[in-house]
Amino acid sequence: MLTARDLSVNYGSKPVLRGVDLTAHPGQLTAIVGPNGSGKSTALKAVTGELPFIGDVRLSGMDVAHARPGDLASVRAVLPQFTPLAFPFTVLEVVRLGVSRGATFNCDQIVNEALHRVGLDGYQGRYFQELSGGEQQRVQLARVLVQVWQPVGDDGPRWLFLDEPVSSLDIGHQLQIMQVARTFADMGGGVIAVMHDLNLTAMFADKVVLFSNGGVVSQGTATEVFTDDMLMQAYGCRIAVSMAPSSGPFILPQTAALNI
Amino acid sequence: MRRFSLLDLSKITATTALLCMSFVSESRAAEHQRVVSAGGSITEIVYALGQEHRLVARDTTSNYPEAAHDLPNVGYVRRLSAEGLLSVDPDLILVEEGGGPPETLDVIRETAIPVITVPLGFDRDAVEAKIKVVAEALDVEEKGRELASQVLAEIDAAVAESQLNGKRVMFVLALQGGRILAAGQNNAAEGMIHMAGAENAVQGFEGYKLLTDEAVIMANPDIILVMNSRRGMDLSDEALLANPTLASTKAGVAGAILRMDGMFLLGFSVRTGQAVRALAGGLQNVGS
Amino acid sequence: MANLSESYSNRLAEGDRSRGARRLGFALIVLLAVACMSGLAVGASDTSLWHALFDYVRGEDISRRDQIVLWDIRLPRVIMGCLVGAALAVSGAVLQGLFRNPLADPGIVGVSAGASLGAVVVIVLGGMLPFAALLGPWLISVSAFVGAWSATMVLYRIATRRGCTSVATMLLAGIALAALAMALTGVLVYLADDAQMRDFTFWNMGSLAGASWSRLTIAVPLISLPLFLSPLLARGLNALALGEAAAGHLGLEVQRLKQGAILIVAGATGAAVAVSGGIGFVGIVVPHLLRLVNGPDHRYLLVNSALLGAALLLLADLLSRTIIAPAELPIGIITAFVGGPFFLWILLRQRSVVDL
Repeated sequence: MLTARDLSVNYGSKPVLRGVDLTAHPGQLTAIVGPNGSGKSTALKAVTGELPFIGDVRLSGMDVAHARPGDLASVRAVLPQFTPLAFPFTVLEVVRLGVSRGATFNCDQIVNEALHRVGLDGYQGRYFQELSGGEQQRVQLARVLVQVWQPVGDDGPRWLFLDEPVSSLDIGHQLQIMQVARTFADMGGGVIAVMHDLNLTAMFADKVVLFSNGGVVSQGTATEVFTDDMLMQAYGCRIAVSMAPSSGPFILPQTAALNI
Repeated sequence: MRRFSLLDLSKITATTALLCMSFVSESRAAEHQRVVSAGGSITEIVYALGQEHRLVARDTTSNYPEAAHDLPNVGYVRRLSAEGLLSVDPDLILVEEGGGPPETLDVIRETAIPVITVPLGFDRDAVEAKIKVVAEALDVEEKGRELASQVLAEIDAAVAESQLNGKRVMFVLALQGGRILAAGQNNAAEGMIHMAGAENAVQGFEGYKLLTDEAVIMANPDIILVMNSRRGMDLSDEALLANPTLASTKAGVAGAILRMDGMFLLGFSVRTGQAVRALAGGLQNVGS
Repeated sequence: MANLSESYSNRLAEGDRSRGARRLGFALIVLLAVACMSGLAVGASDTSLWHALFDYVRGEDISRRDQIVLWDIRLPRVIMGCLVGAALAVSGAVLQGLFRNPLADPGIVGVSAGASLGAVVVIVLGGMLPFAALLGPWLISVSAFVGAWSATMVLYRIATRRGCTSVATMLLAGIALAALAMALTGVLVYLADDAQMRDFTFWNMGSLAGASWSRLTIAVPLISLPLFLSPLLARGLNALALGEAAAGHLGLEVQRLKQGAILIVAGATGAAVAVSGGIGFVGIVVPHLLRLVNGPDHRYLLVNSALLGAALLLLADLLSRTIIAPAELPIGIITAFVGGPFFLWILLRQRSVVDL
């Protein structure tokens, strides 16, 4: 379980995150949503230990602020929004970077399987830098998947932290990647994803945390969080929430809804 | 096997030569038949002593006489290479004071090849000492004494004839970005200026330095002395006078610029007597 | 055989260059061995390694001169060439990994500027310094080493705040510090006389001519320790290619990696520059070439850089001491002459493939 209590982050003297309480459970896909600058990416960076923070964050009982990077890396993997790569590595070499030191399993088999899951079969020999933005993001996801290959390890669940995993993808790949994350959660791992697309969030997330102005304004299931008032308050525009029979809430900006 | 015995002999020679140079007999003269001369002034002396047939190599600064250019070049006198020296299979190495590096000379001494350092200096005595050391090293002391007395006589005559009476001379080694690299105290150029009976217009530092404009004005030389190098890198009058401060000095206004061959002027070797005479005469003419 | 090469090209198509890199490593060992033997066999003098070995095996005496040429001149020089070449190439590879930039070289962390300043201080002021006589022929090396280390440590201090070193700050401060060191060097060059200026110029152009057994007793531990430790950085440098944050998420202790990399570079380059002067281009060309052939995986890049750097420097030294024999051309001139155009050619050629 991931718990963050009274989590605050300052950039210089400017507070970006103020007293946030957050919990996420293994076996669930927890989505963090909110407008630009609401602090959702900052929150993700804090709970992964990338940013220094005030407060208390525990991941599977580990104190994130003081844990060794190696210990954290063995239970959670992080997909950044954008990963600049310095040298001309091939796709295979990039994904292999996720393989932990002393891994006993057949690493090539897993690397190939991970590439298959993100829809990049046969890309092993391509140079990472030659790929499109969306393809690069999927390669990075494969690397992250390899790092925590078993959703539940001997000593507990593994965690995936994804910062806008599908922002640069086409709709087909968006569904494919969200399905990968969903499967990871279904198999017992924990997934925390920063999301922009509210409809995808509603379709895949077990729990939604809505950020606004550096704090959490609402959390619960998509149906609970995605209400007209709540979204309008957070995003500052008129949004209509309907219910789709198969996949729960269905969100359209108001002006677009009028044009239908 | 032959080489081995040769080396043994040269080892003995080295020890003897270093300990009791003056007792080296004429008969052993035949033993140093493969001499490396590292230093332009040494090479001149070797030629003047008529011993050039014993030279097997010279350094980069050995430009005179012209025939020296036919010898293999072992590099710059301060950057000699141990294997380079050994490759010409020498049995004696003469090197100017300050030559080296010391590590190289140490390795050479390991091989029992004698390395004799020839002292440096910028006056009449230095010329005498150089000739003496080189002649002794080559076991031609008699010829050495003759050469030294001849050269010293030339110097004395030239000095006596000089009628410069305190003309103030500035020696310009080079222009660096339009600024003047001039000779101060304790260097070959000042030594020559003094021997020619003139005065160094530049005072206050050792060796060669870039002068500030004010220092140039303070110096205010009557005559500017420069070298013309063999490689066409001469300092032209235009280049010198393009420096407005230099152009404003007495020498600049009068266009009193004297050119002499660098090695001839600054070698402090066999030709120094002629050089003093030429310098004194040149300064006289250009100044009047 | 056909089968083997087929499976190899399959693996290449699969993006796996590790087998090729290992093979290249073996090839480079052979190349280095050849370079070492050539270094021993060829020189300005006519001393023949083979005759000497032959005589030795037959139990005959080797002439004193041949002994000295082989044992006191060529062998220390070959060992020194291996160490210096390996140190420069590995330092280049480590720094490029650390700065995530293929153009980084030891100049960036102030090593070269510091060493240069250290050298010129004793060349010009040597006579006046109280400890000068004590150190004797070691003076320039010791001072260059101290200069290299001090510059790097100052830079590290400047760039480190709250236990975190910013490579960007280090890069910028490195430029400033290098300019400062250059200015101080300029002051000393201004004070220098003609001979001192020549000594400094020659020092700057680099040479392995100073190699001797006594010098090696100090240089071998100083250079080989960081060299042998450098493979410990390999995995970390690979992860760092993803950026510091992602490397941390992969479990890397980023700050410790940076410290280790800087210590290794300062140690290896500082010592190498101290004994050989300024030898350029090895640190940039060697890792770059190897990256083009077998990719940037530092597990192979560092080892192969050491091997290729050593071999290339030995070959450059071979040229340096034979091309104008019996004189010697400074080796830095040769590395720059060969390295410069070669590097340009690589840049022009590869731009079409992967733009860095």
